[in-house]
Amino acid sequence: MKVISSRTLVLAAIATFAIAACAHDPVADSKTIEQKADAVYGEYVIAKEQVQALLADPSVDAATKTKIANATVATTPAADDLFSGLTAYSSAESDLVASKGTQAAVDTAVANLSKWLAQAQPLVDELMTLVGGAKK
Amino acid sequence: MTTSVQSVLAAVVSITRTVAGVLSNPVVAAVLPTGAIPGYLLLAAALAERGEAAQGDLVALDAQIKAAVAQGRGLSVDELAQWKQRDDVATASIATWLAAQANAKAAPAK
Repeated sequence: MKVISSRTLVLAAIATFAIAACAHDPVADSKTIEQKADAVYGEYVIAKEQVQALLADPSVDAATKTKIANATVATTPAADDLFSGLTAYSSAESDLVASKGTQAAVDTAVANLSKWLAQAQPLVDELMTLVGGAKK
Repeated sequence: MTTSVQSVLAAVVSITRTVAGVLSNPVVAAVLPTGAIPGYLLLAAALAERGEAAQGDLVALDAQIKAAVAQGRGLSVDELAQWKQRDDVATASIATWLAAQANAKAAPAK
């Protein structure tokens, strides 16, 4: 996330350090690719809501808010792909259970979901760190 | 997150804001070469506050994931739809804020 200054990242690291000891990690608790994707998407939404709250905080200057908002927007396409991958997987699996789909369709959905997850996870981790919500 | 840890985090945020407030005092600022330090601390406090708020949501997400793992499934359609709805609300809010900033910049200076 190159739009964020090193100074902001240092601040985020300080904030993260203060809270890391008590954090929860839904991604680490998940077992399957679908559960991991669910967890990463949820974390993305949580981070985004914190950015939304930060934009309403009068103690933060407009330039910093703009950088953080732009960094969040830059993460959105990967998160949208991840959500699409999750719904596609869910649909393929439901079709298979209802004998309307094939195992091949589920396998394709899993492969796509895995790709979207690999793309989104580092970006979401960075966003979580930025808003001080990093996990341990 | 335990109550005692939450209390410590709240205290850290409070103290940071207080220190930043003291440094922002014009008299203090006149004798200390603090420069941008108050703004720096205020941002640190704001980020710490956001981190604290995020922890509550992480606990809830963690509980949903653990329940899904226990049942050998992913999040339910309803659970996922709720996350998507929250995503859409935040997206709209951030886009509105960025648009307002762009409009303010584009407006001719008086």
